[in-house]
Amino acid sequence: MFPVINIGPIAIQTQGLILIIGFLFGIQLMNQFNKSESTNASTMENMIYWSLIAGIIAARLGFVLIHISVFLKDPLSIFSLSTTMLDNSFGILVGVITALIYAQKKEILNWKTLDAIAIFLSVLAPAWFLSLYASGKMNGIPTNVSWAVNLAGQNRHPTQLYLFGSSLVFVIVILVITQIFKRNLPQKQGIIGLSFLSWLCFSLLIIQPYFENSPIILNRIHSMQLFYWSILALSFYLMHLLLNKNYGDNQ
Amino acid sequence: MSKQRDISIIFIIILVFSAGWIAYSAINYSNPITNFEAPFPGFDAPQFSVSDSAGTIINSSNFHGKPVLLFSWTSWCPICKSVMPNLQEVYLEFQKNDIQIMAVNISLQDQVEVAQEYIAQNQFTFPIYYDLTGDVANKYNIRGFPTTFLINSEGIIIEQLVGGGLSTAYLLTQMSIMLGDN
Repeated sequence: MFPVINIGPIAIQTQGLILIIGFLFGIQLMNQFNKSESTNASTMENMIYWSLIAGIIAARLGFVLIHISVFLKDPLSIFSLSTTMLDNSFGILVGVITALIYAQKKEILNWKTLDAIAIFLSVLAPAWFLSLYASGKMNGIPTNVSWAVNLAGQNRHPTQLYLFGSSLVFVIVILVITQIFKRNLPQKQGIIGLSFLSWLCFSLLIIQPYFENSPIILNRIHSMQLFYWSILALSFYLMHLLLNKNYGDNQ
Repeated sequence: MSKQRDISIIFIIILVFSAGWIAYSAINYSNPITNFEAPFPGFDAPQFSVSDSAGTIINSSNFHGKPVLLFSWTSWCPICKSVMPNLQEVYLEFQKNDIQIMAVNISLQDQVEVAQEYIAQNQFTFPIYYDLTGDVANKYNIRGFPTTFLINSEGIIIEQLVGGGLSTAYLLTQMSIMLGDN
C-alpha cells in the first residue's frame, strides 16, 4: 500500500493521482475510438465533463442535505474546496442522469455511445482498482497463497490487484481485436458496452468471496454476488437480442 | 444462425458456472468478520501508546468504547497547521460529548520543543500527545502529514484521510456520525 508519494516536502495522494491519469487516458482512448467510428468525439467528451461537473455538485449537495444542521450554522462551508464532503451515491446517480439527458438532447442516446463510454470506463476501471490498492481499501481475506500481499503482518489476497488485472485484460483484448480501433468489429454496436459490463460483473462475482467483510445474507450467501449475477444475466440477454437483431438485419 | 446459437450456449454456460460459484462460495467462503488490527478502514484500530505534555504515558485502550479522532501532525507541516484551528473549533463544540480528539505529534520527525511552542502560541486547548517512540507512526503506517483516522466506538477505523480536506464542517459532520454510532 502506498497512499502517499513523497516528492521532497510535497506529499501527493496516490489514489487521486492514479484516478486522474486513468481519466485522461480513458478520454484519450474514447476519442480515438470515436474518430474510428466517425462519431462526434467532442460531443461525447463534453457529455463526460458535464456529467462529472453535475456529479460533483450533486455529491456536495447530497452531503449538505444529509448534514444540514452543520451547514445551517456555517452556510459558507458548502463551498469549501474539501474533497471529503461528498455523497458519492447521489453524485453518481445525478452524473448518470445528466449524461442521459445530455445524450438525449444531442441525439446520441444509442448503442454506439454506450460502446464509447465503455471504452472510457474500461480504462478508468483498472485505474480505480489500482487506486484502491494504493490507498489500502477493499482488502482481501487472509491466505497462504504465494502471491499474497502483507498487510500489517498478515498475508492477504490482493483482491484489488485481481480486479486490476482482470479489467486490464479487457482493455488489452479490445485494443488487440480492433487493432487499436483500425478495424471495425462485425455487428458491434452495443456489444463492446455490454461486454464490458458483463466482464466487470463476472470478475466482481468471482472475486467477491475473497473480500474482507463481504456482506452476507441468509448466514452464508455473499449478497453482492447475487447482484452481479443479475446484471450479468441482463447484459447477456441484451447481447443475445442485439446479436439476433443484427443477424436479422444482415439477412 | 448457428453462430448465434453457439454464443447463446456460451452465455448460458457462464451463467450456470457463475451460479455454481455463488453456491460454492456460500459453502466455503462465508467468511466471518475477523478482528484484525491494521491501519485501514474496516479493520480494528491498532493499539498504541503516546505521551502527554507532562510525559505521562497514555495507552489508547484508555479510550475504549469512545469514538476517537486521531490526527497525526508535525509543526513543520503547513497543511497540519491549517487544520489545527478547525480541530480547536470542533473540540469546543464536542468537548462535552463522549468523543476523544487526539492530536498526536509525530515527534521522531519533529522537535518537541518547537511543537509545544507552536501549541502555546496558538492557545490550542484540545488534547495534544507526543509519539516519542514512533509507536503511532509505525502502527498507523504514517507516510504523509497530516494523516487522520476516524475510529468508531467499537474501535474500528471508519475513515483514513491523508493530507487536507479536514474543514470544520467536515469534522463536525463526522463527529455527529460517530456519536450516532455510539
